[in-house]
Amino acid sequence: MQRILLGHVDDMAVNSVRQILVDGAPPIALYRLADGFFATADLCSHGEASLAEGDIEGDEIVCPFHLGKFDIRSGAPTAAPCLEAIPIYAVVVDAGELYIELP
Amino acid sequence: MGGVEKLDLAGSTRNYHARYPEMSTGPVPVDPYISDAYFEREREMIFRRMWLLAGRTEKVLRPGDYYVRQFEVLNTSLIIVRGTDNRVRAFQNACRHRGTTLATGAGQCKYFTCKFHGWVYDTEGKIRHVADEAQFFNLDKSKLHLQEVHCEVWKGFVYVNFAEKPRETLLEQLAETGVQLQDFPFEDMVVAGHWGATLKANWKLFIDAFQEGYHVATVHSGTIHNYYTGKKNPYCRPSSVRLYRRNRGLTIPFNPDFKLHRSEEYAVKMGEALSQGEAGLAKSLPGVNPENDDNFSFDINGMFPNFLLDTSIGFFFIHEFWPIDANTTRWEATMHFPLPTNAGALIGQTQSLSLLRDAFREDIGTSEGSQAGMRSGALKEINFSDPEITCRHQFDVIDRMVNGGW
Repeated sequence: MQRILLGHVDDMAVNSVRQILVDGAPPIALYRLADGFFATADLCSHGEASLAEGDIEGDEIVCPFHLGKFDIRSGAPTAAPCLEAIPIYAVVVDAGELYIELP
Repeated sequence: MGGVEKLDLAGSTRNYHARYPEMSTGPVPVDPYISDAYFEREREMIFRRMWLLAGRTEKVLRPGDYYVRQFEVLNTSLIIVRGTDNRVRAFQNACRHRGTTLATGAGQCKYFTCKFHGWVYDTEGKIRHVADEAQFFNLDKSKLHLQEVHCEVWKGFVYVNFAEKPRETLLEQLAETGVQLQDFPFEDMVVAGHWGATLKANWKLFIDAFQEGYHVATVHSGTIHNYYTGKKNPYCRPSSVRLYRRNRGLTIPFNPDFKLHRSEEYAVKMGEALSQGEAGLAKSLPGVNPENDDNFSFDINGMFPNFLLDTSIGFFFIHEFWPIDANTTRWEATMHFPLPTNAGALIGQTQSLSLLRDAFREDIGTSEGSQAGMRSGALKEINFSDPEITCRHQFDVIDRMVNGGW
């Protein structure tokens, strides 16, 4: 199990998303919603877009290329043209730091 | 002329050709104002070669800001966009897949996505996504970026040039007028009023309506005539005229005998207005009233080929004249004032905008009338007076260029 530091809790405003690049892992989109932190793959499953460049609408991230959407919590596609789910990662908060754990 | 030699603006002396004796004085043919063939030559010899105004950078302040500009004369539209690298560029508004229009209006975006099949371009024009790309044959994406058109910015004015290789730089085209206005504080003023119309008049003819004062006493008898006409200058002659290789300039004096409306008098004390009368004489801005004329009101700067940039001590004003065909022009006018900082300034600006609106309606009416008369075939020639030398200059420059001159 690989534990990857993503940042500090105070680095992100509520309803924001940012791209995290770490060695040995695909780009990650890290979200802060009103009730906590979430992480998905940053790459859209339809085009080659960075979801971190998209807008958050409620619990969904809107892809900047074609306005397809994914549920941030489950990774499920919720609007065309996206059809395939994107990976999600559990975010661990430990002493104010944000981590994800990859197998 | 001007600061050196003050003109008698009410007498019978013909002052303007005296300064430019090389200019002709005879009748001017009607054909260039109505001919489809002549218009085709204007399209190719002028509009496809010159730097053309494409807006102001106020519309693209942040990376991702964009707007679409129509160029009917070249049957195309451009996307003007500030890229993430903060540079303003112009792109042909056509998807490289099958030519579909990419953007309309104005807005803020990270990408331009074609609504037909979803091809995606970034704000620097690079292609970023081709849907189902593997189904294309030998697609070379390095050749499928948006087609960039030459784009330069001068004092917040965005210019484009459709030539493969422009024959001169933007500064060379702006020439003397660019030098004159290089320190004018365009950036301190914002859009206060915007008007437009598509009218049945040739583009040159409609420019002429705004680059001579001869019409003011009659056309504007119900609005702004007495700001400019009076016993000392009954026909609103310019107090000075400057004719260059392509650009031109003239200075319009105010009527010193006119008493401002009370609201405007108050506003002038508080800020800016269309005509500031004597109160304006205490003010100055770099680049205006270049010959230090008496009773200065505003300058009209003819920016070849198709816009007028009027500058004064409290505003600048843009007239754009976009030909659609030989007999149709899309006209846009934009008034820029400093942001009003008090109620008095706002009142003055608002009154000025109302006056301008009414005056423009008068100009449109007479210009469509002129075009109708020319198209009827009733006359083969028209005549310009000495103070209308600016109209003659425009005619001569355009005629030189459509006949292969530069």
